[in-house]
Amino acid sequence: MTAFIEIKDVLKEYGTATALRGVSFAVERGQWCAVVGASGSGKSTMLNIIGGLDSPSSGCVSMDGVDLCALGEDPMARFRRENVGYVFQQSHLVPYLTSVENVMLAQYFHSLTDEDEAREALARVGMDHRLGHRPSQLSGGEQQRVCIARALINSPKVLLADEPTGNLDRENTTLILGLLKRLHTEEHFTIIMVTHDAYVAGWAGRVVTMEDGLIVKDEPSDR
Amino acid sequence: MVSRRQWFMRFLLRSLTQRVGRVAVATFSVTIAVAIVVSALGLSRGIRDKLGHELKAYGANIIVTSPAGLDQREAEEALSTMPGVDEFTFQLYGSVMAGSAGSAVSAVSEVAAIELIGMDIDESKGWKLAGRLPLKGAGEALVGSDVQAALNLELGGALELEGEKFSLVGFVERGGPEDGAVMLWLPDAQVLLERPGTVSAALVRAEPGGLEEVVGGIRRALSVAEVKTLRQVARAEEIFLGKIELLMGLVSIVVLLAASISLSSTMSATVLERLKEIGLMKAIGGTRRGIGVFFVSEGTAIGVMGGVAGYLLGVLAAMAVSKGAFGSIIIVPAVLLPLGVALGVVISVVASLVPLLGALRCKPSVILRGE
Ligand SMILES: Nc1ncnc2c1ncn2[C@@H]1O[C@H](COP(=O)(O)OP(=O)(O)O)[C@@H](O)[C@H]1O
Ligand SMILES: [Mg+2]
Repeated sequence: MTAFIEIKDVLKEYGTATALRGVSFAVERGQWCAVVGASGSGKSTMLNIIGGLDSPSSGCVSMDGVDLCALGEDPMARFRRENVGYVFQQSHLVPYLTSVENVMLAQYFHSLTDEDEAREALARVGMDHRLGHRPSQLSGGEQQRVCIARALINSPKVLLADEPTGNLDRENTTLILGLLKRLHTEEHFTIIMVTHDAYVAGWAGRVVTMEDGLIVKDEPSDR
Repeated sequence: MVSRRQWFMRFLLRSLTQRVGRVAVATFSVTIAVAIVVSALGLSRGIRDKLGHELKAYGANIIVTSPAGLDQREAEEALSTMPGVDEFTFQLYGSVMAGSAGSAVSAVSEVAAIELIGMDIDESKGWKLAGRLPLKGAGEALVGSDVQAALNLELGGALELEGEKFSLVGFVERGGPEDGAVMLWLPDAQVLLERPGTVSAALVRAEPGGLEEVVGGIRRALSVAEVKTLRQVARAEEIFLGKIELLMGLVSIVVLLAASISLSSTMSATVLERLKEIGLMKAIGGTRRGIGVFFVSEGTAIGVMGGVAGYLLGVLAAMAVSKGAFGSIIIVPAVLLPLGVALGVVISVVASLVPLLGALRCKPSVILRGE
């Protein structure tokens, strides 16, 4: 039986540069996995390929038994909105929409918009006092919490986070990690989180280390 | 629960109202492009409508003129005995100094040179006018709307022409040369212009079948006269019009090109600015179609706004140009409104589609990179 998320012999080339040189890796359902490594080691590339935001030059990727490489662009988009919640390092929010509208945008692409549900999702991340604010009126940590609410709104099977605390101070970092921890322990979310910060990686149950396009270490967290 | 459609409108409204600067620039570009096309089309349509209009208005198909003037009696004898001529009427053209006498307000009455048309005013039946037609030999005048406006005249007032007082009994607006003239009965005009027994033109209605013979007959009978058929007049006007249209066409193309370039560069800049937005929408599960619909709708909204504004601006421009160049106002047909809006939408959507399609082809990971 294959694992929940599995990538096998994945190679990714950008022109002459090779970002991933044959990576194999599996994540079980309910696992919280951190991916660490130096800048340029291929962490984001691997996460993007797992989430279907990018496709490998060769190798296979599967999630929940679905071969992602076999999907065309639009079926891929549909698969993504059903199964994957994404949190980026830079809080990518639509600048002219309010917090609640940004969450509703994800609902819109998924199926139906439900403003109450969007509010609840924001309340879950402690943002119920900033529903009508636009991104420019929010702090970095607040924007990132809106992104998490948006990533969770369609009940995905997996949460992918690319340096979710990269631009945040320690206090906000702890707050965001606390949120992820609650999702992991209470709702058994599968989480894959890229970071270059050992403190952040320490919150996960498993730490995968990358170097120069390869996984060089894979061990349980010492926490 | 907000329906999908309602939410879509909310999204659209937000993107239009929260990005006022960008939207204004794009709308303005569309406005200019549409205004140019509407005014060019309106002008050429308007001028074309005027083609041969004067002769047609009198039901005439031959015009007889002479630079020095025609002897009225001689012309009358020749035309009334000419086989094939059904009807004819004479006109005398001149220019006189006019002042609005008796206007209690202005101590110094305004004086201006205006066109005078002496005619059988019976022939003007069916004109749209305020007041009534002047009676023959009663010292009454009919005034064109432009003259009325310029001299600030009122019905029932008096108009002084070369020191003679005429009572104003009617105003007329036809979109033709009459608008800028004063119309008197022919004998009154002949006295005023000191050209007794003389006319400038005879407008002749002949049987269409024997037009050439009638023209030949008139040429033999009135050797000093220039005789042209309506078709010849129309052809001369057509050639003139062709030159004007060519010029307008060239100017339109140049301006349209400039406007399109500015619009598509605005749109490219906007889409570039919004590339992250597109990548983000893809990342959270938007299909190419779902995302495209947003941006195309936005382009459509901008196109409609620019199209309506461009139509209005184009109408004003056509009116100003025709007033300046031809001395009369051209009515821009209302069909140009839907046409202008459609043009605006096409320009705007195409201009936004070109960069959008490029952005939609990119992988979201490539767009969202940029740490
Ligand atoms: N779109 C791209 N075009 C060209 N090179 C890229 C692209 N994305 C990533 N790379 C290259 O691939 C390598 C791995 O990048 P990335 O996965 O972003 O690293 P990390 O997230 O670990 O910092 C880097 O050398 C980077 O320059
Ligand atoms: Mg990275």
